[in-house]
Amino acid sequence: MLEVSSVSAGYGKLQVLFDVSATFPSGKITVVVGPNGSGKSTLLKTIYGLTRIYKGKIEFEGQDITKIQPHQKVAKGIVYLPQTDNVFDNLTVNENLRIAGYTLPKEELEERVERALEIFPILRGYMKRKAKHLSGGEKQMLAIAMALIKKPKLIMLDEPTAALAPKVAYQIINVIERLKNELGLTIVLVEQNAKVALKIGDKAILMVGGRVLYEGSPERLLRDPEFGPTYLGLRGATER
Amino acid sequence: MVAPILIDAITYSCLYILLSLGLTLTYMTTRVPNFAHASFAIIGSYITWTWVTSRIVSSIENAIEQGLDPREINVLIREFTLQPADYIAVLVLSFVVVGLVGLAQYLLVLKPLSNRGSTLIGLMIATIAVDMLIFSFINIYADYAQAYYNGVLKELSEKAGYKIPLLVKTRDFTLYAYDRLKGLNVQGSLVLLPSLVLGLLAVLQVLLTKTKIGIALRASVENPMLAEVAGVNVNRVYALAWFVSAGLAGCAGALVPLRLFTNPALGHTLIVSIFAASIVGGLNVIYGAFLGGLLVGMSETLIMNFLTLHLGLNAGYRPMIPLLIMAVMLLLLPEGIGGYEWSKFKKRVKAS
Repeated sequence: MLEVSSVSAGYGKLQVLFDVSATFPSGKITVVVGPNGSGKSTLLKTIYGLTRIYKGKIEFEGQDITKIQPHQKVAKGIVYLPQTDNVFDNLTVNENLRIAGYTLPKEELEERVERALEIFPILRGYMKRKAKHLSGGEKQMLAIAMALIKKPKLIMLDEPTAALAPKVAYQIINVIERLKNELGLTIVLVEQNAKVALKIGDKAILMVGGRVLYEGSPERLLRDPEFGPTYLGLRGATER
Repeated sequence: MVAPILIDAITYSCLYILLSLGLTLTYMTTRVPNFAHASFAIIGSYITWTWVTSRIVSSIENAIEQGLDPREINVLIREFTLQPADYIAVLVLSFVVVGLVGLAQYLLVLKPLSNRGSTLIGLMIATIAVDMLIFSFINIYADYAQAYYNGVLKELSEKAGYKIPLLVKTRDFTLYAYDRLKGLNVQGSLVLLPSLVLGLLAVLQVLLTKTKIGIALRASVENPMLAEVAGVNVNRVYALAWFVSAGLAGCAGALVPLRLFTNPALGHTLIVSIFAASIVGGLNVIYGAFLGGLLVGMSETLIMNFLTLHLGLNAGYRPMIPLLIMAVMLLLLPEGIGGYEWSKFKKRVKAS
């Protein structure tokens, strides 16, 4: 389990998160939603160690990881997928997959690349193609495949469906659900498209103005007559 | 028989390719144009000078021990030629020594400054400071080496009882006379420079696309944060890039005195052409350096030859040519030949 306790963080002197506390249960999908600028992406970056933490504590599987460097977090099984620039555009798909497992011995890398390709068979046909020539959806699949090669326990995805066509976004959401069901991964999913994401979530967190406003069941959040319409652009319980 | 002007053009092209390749590589990693890059090459030139001079002096010492007469020693000095092992030795030595100088510049100057939040302008000025430091060091070395070898020759002359006819010169010197491949009536540097460039092209292609470290280098250049997340030690990869870049400059510089008149300030003349070659090829494209170096080297030599023959201009105008090429390129194609997406251009032409 991942636990964030009373964390205040930001970029330099600009504070974005204010006393944030939340838990992310193992083997479940926790969906973080909220309006633009509410601190969702900053929360993921803070967990991964890419922001300045002023106070608070972050624990993963009972271990304090607040001050651990990002590359050390990879070794602990924590993987973060940024919203943009999450693949190397000028490397081929094959090279991208291989660089993702840079620290692995050759045999293990081959095995993990094969496993990732079993989950994303579409990538097999593009192995020699540069990533910049892939579509948005294919790039996201490649980014997730690269994350899987690191054999994560916890995977944090920052708006993986942003700027994707609805059909492709739906495919990506399905893939994320499969990662939980088939591989038992703990997933933290930040999404703008709250309605779609909350449907696959086991837990929901609503962030507004750098604070956690709601933590609980996704169904309740979707049905809530105040939060849905005010912060998530939903038309209220009747729509669902 | 190849025309001498074409030989000159090939020499300069190869030199610029080797030098602009390193400049491009260091720019791609740290985004800092390194003004000390050409002076790296001149360190290589003085390594070759030291090697050749010490080899000749030790041959004279042996000859005196064996009791050869002054006429025989004169012949020995006049007919001294470099052996294949000499070429290998100066290239390897220059690569390692100059590579270490480049590594020191990255680790001791640029990285600490960058960690302290220095701006690009600050880092650029730091490279100029390093250049001045290297330039001063080469000047000191040139004076010291001249005094040292003149002293050695004086001692040898006293020992032999006659004046040893060897002129030790550490400024405006050339080692042209010693650069002959035995058996073939050709200069060693003329074979070595193009071979080095072609070999490098092949090695680079394999290194960057087939090896783990090469792919890590490309990844670190494109997105250092993502590379770090993948487990690549980006700092180590950048340090390697600086070592190799400076090492290549050292190799190019090691061959310079075999063709050109060399002095400690030669780097300051070369730097304009090297920047022009990198910009023409594309500062963000490693392979662009091959195109840029070839284009600038060829045009500089051939256009200057034309201007001298037909307009009577002297060689002082030579730096104007790379500067003009650089200016035109920055106006028309700022991303360089290698950086421009030619597929889009093709599509546009087809569509029209």
